[in-house]
Amino acid sequence: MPSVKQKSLEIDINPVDGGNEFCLRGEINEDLIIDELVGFKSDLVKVNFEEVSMINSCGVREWIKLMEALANQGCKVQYFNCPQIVVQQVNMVTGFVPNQGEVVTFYAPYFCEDCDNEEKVLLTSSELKGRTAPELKCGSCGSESEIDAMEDVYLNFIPE
Amino acid sequence: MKINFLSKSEEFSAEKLSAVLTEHEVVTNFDNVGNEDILIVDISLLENLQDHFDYFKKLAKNLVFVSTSNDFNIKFAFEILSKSSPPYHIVGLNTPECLEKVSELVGCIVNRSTLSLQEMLGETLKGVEVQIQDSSKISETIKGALGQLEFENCFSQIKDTLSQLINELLYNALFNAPTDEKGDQQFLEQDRKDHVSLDQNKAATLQIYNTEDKILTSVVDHYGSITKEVIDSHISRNEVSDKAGGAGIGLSLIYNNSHELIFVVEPGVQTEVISVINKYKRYKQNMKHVRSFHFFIKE
Repeated sequence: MPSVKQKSLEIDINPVDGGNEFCLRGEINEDLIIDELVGFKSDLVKVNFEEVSMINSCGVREWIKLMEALANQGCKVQYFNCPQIVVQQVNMVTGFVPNQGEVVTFYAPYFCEDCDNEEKVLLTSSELKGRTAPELKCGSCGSESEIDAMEDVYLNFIPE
Repeated sequence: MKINFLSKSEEFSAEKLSAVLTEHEVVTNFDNVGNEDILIVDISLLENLQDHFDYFKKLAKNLVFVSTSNDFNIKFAFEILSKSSPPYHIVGLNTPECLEKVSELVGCIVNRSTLSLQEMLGETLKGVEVQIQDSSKISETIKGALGQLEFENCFSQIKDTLSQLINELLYNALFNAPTDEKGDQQFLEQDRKDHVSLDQNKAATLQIYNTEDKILTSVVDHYGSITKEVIDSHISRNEVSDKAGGAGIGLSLIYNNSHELIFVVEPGVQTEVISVINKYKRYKQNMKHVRSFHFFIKE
């Protein structure tokens, strides 16, 4: 399993059906070198953001350049396990999700009013009904737990 | 001084404002607007006023926008502000303190003073202050500073938010702020992969203060080079720049992660950028808080 170790980010490259999975670990910032990743040519890249700890504006720019380079190769991109800091960029920055890409799964904050429990819940974009988050059972007390975000803002990237 | 006031919000009415601004006359029409008067306008009414706004801008030197929602046309608001002289302000209104905040701003305008970190600190629980001159140390500086603080009664992602916010503030202070003897920006177009190291006497200062209900972050640079034109063109950017240097969206990220963003610029001397985040246990409440913005020139 090849692994690309850059100054602030490690990327494990795993072959998957139809392409490659990029598992990211660390910070996406100005130190991202996209040339080391563009070489892994495939029809599909699945990006796992689970262990991304920080992303800054220069990192966003490098990321967009990477997406553009992959698009030029005809590569489709899917984003998985997007933490809140990545969801924020998805919603805020044009081109963070490329035209040929999609956010498949992402984390949303949930809160239980009964026991004050906060949880990060992994949601699947295709299972949402528009920009409405499901009500779920609290993992701590079992009561109804609701998304702890403004749905129209946090879920803005979901097509209506 | 006359306060010219235009709003349809029941929460923010002329009567309530008059009760707080007892030394000033609050009027709700625009007859006889004087150049030294203050114009307070609800942003939601701006688009209806657009045709008349050039008229108002010429009359009132001091402009304060108020907003009950983050869902306003910020580009348009800043476009209007860019045509007037500082200080200028956008005040978010869905907090209990909004009237006091407007009163405080009126005081600043009348007294030609600025908002200041010291006055906002109140009974501070704990703070961190650190100097930074080398951009290669930004990441470890932030981790070290935040590692010393615990933010109780705040949503769990607060340190991620602060980490990103402070990262952008420090990159601006170390790359965008520095100017040479001629006043030209030294590192604006430098590749951010190439680190900068400032002289010790020009080191930026980072302060983070944790009060009972707010987190205050201040970054001071010793150049005072930022202009309102730069702020106007970057505060609401959502597209990265393909030019050399920074990505162009840092200021927008800072603003979107703050509840209150304050610039105090002493041209050619220093700039202080203060970000205020009100503490909410619920992230949703954090998102709902209407953002405020203030730009002062310190003479």
